[in-house]
Amino acid sequence: MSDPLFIGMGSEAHADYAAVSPNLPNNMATGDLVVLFAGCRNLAATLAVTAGWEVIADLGGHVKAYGRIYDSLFTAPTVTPSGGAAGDTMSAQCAAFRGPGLTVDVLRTRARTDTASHIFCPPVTTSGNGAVVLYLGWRQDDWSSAAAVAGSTLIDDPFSSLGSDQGLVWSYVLQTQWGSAPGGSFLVTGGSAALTVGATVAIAHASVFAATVGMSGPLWMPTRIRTDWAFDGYDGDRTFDDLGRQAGGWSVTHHLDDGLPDEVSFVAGLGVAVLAADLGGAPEISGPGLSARAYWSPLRTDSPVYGYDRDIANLTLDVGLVTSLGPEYVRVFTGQMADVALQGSTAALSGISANRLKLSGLVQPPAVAGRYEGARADWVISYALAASGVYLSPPAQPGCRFWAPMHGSVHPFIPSNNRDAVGGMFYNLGIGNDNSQWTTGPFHLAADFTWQPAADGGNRDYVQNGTHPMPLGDGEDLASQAGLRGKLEMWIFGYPYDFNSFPSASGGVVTWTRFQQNNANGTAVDMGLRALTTSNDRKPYINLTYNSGGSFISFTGTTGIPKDSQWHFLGLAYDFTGSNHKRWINVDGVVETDNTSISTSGFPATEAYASSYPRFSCRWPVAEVQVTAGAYANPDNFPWLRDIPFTPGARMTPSLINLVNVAETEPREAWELIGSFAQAELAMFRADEADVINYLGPAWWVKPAQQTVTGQIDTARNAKPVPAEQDPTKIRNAIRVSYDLAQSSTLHTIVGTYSSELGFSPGLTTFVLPLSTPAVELRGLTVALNDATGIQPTNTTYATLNTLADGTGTAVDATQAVVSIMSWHPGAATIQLDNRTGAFLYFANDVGWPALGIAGKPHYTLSTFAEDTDEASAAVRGARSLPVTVGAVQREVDARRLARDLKSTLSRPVVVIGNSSTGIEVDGDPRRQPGQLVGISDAETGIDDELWRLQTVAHEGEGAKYRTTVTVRRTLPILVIGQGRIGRTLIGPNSTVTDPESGI
Amino acid sequence: MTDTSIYLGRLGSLTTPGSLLVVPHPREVLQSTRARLLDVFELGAGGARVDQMVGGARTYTLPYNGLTMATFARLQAYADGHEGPGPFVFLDPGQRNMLPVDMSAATSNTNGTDAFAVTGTGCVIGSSSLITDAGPRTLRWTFNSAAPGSGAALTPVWPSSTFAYGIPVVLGRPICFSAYVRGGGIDQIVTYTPQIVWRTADGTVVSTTSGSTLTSDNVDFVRGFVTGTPPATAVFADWKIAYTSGASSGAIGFWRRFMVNEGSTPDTSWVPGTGVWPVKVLNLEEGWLGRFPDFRSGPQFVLQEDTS
Repeated sequence: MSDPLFIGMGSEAHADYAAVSPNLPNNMATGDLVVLFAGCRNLAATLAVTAGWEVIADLGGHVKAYGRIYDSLFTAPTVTPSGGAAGDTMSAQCAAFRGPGLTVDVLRTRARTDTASHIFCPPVTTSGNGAVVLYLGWRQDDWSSAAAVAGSTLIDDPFSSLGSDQGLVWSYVLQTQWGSAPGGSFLVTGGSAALTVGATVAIAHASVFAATVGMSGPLWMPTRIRTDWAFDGYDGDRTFDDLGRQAGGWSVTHHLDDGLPDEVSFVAGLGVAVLAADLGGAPEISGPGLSARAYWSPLRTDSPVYGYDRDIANLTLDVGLVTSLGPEYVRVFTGQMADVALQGSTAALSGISANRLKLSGLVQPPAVAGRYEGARADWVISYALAASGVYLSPPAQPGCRFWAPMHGSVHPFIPSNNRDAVGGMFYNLGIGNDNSQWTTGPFHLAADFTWQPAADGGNRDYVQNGTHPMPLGDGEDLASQAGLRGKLEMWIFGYPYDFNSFPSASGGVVTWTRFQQNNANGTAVDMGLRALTTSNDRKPYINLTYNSGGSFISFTGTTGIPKDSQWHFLGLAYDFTGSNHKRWINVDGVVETDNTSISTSGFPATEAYASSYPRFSCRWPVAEVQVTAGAYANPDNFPWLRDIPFTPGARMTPSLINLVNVAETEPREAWELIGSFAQAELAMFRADEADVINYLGPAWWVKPAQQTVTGQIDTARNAKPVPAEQDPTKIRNAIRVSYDLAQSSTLHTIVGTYSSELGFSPGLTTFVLPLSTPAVELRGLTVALNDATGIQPTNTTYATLNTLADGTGTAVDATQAVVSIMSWHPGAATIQLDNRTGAFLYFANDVGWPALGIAGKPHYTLSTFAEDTDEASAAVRGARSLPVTVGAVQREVDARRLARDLKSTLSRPVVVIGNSSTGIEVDGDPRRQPGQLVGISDAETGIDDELWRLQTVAHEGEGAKYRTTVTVRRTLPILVIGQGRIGRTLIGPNSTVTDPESGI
Repeated sequence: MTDTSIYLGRLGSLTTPGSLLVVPHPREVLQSTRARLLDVFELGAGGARVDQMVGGARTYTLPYNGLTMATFARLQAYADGHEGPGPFVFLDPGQRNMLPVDMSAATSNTNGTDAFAVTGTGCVIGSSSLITDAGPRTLRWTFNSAAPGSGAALTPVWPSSTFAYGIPVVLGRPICFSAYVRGGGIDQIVTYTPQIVWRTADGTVVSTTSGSTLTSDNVDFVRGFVTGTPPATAVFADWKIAYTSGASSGAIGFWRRFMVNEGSTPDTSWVPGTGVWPVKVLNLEEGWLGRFPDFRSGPQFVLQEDTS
């Protein structure tokens, strides 16, 4: 399929409140898409256009974009305003695009109104390849010029002073691959801040694949199988990266792991896409050609693939079809090679999901105290993904010293160590009231921090450091002579209240968000968003205090974060290293700078923060917070976070599981760890055709897109006989969910003890002490030595060291030995003894205490269960039990929900087509994916409706023989009152999650 | 048709006198069927659905009553590896149009433009269904600039990984490239120059032969052609249609019936082409009558096109 082209724009047309007729662009051809962009200065005005044009974006009635497919006949349109008056400037312009399949269908439109100099356009995400993304901007004031939104190409910036003036500006992006089109601003020069409207429109590139594959007699293109041996990009067709030219038969299998226990699962696979293909040899352009045995022999030095590893190169497979628009390909597999093995006269290529392999590594999330930090399952899943190199949101940049995505906990990913705060965590969420709030963020979840009046609990849901400094990971200094540069970036919510109307007033709040780096000698770097003063309310700032506190420079941006309930990028950076003396403020891509020089000699030589600093606080919803140090902190040399291209490696709906704590006592395979949560809420967990990890919980199935029937399986058109059956062996009507009920504690207690008759020789000795009770916080890392003459400590860490193994010798004091906790995790602590006595020492005493007691906040668990029974089902067929043990559930509500969902899923016979080992054979269609809703029609079995979901999809091709074998499961056709399901939809918690793109 | 010889040889040897094998014509029918993969999918409700692949490949079967040992030995050298591993060039005089399917059919096979490339400022090609009297599609060359530049040209994209630079040529054997064009768009009168580009085995241009210019008409298709005899070092014959003059922004040329035929003039009638592809020897049946061991009786020489 060809990518779309920009053909050109016609001349602009302006008038003082009169109809305008902008010329069509030159060089148009039949089938081109013509877009008309028109606007009137008066917000009360409405626009009408010549018949035949369709509205593709309506930005308040007075600014609209229209589309029409050129037929070589129609002429320049006329746009007529109404509802205005003389002085209301009218402007319009046309532009044309060419591309097979371009239609006036709009994928997504997002608009925003604001009063500003520049014009902000929100981001959109497209779902189909080859779309045209249009950025549209209007301002109620004219200008000298306007620059395109970053990353797009300017169409034009027509403006006029006919009437009281206005300006239009538009730019475009021609997408090859579907994905996100970031938001950004038209940077306007000249004129004044005024009312603006910005919109982003994605125009569909219609595929005719569906229509073509549904017709009789499809004509297939050779299957594309591509790799990248040298990791330098695909070299092109007929090169050694082109495996399709060698391929004979091939197969790709996708499973939907439905999360059900194996004994009742309808799917045998594990949610991992796998590929297999037979390869022959390859004739090379400059060589004689090699047989498969020669070409793939690891010993043939004349083979083009000699020396390349055969288990790491990436791999894709696309199935192509001749359509009326030319060959069109659909991706069926993305992953990496697993092996190429010689089998007789051919070679067997195998591939597997690359992200699945990434998730094969062991991860151990740090301890997270849910009471203080929040601990939704989302955070654990996002952490396990990120630790494996698969990201839900933009990853940390080089030099990052703090990264908190806020995906269900404020605990950062960087640093990811276990915390040892005493008397409160850095994250003072709700002061330990276990009431963290999370909302839909720009990428996944976001921390729903909002300033709360005292009557509602005071500083609830608000990050502050308290008396404990904000943790920073290793890296270059941020606020010293060794490194006086840094960058703070985040997405922050345009909260719809300003200072004066904030709920119950704002008290003494002076900043909405703030990153303070106060040094012990009085110097400081302070940045954030101002509050308190009305004139600068919501505006970003960067201040430095230098000369050991004697001098001060401030820099406040002119653009504040609007009150529009949208997510906005906020970036603040400074660089005072070498000859650099510069500060940057970035709001949604609009960058302001300041070059005021200062003397940096008063800053400490190396990082030396004052007590309880640095600090970070925020009183608005926020997500994706990063602090970067070093060279990458300078935006002149390295891009802002928002400008770094990012394609999510995972797609996730918010989890329903809320944890008490995150207290993993040992490393676990990331895939298994995430899968345990999926099983605990019956979420679909799989790697899809693009190798994107999907974690799709019940909320996924209620979205409108999942109610769309994506294809027909019809024994009269494309399918073999349908083996419909009800498998009574999978019926379960009495469910027991066993789980470990967890409890958090605000109090410290002894969580680990040690005594030993083994002597510790002089010098340093390190050993690992397993904790008797998993802990989510240890009380200090320095161990107090106790002579065991008083009362045994019960909530502080202590050690009794003695010169004799039975404790009857001399107790050792701090001058003779030092005991430290070097590191810890919820399951163990690493202890170091520095024996300075010159003789053996023993962890011992003669009063019966444990010789070493580690104090911390425990993660208590109690094994229990939840059960649910379908009495009606049990009455007719007897009790059929399903005992399930889930390790990912910590709260009773989550266990009960799982029991209920299992009951409603399994208590009645469900019709399935195909089982774990067989399926229904359908003529090939590469678009089929597990989870899709399909219609099935078969006169023999009487099936004729559209309530079926694909469970397994196995593609198999060889020449013109292309089959897709699917297993299909019937969705429940009735509403079961009290059990919360309509088909595969959910009524209840989380069913109203808002899609940040569609607003649905 | 001036040369009915059947040629077989290594790539490059066709331009080297003495190493070129002129294969004897068989007494019986030379089978050259081009197979396209089909799959019949039997439907659950009865009936069938037929899938097909876009490509195809010929199998050449040359049945002989008998061959002398000397002649047989030259075929045997290809069959048994004495002429190297191949693949080999096989020029069938029965295939008059030597261009591959989607090229000769002007995009009608796939509705896509993968067989063609265009250069020049503002030049765009597409597969057009506007004119259907000689096939469902034509290749549309649109000029979006009145100054496409002197280098503006339409060129082929050869589909074979082995014959990557054109059609293998035989020293002294002329060939002719031809195609038809009709004007369209804003300006329907544009002048073009058809060319044959002679190339070495690695694609290096040896020389270019230009034909007479042709000017598109706004009503009828006009044929342009160029004839040439391969220079001594040429291995491949490539073609080009160069823009010469006359384009205005919005001009369109609809191209169809591309053909390369053997001879010094374009064939009167266009015929479908399926391309000249490398071949490998699939089989050479061997046997001799008693008392005549130096005479091969009833050999059958089978070659298979390799279209990868």
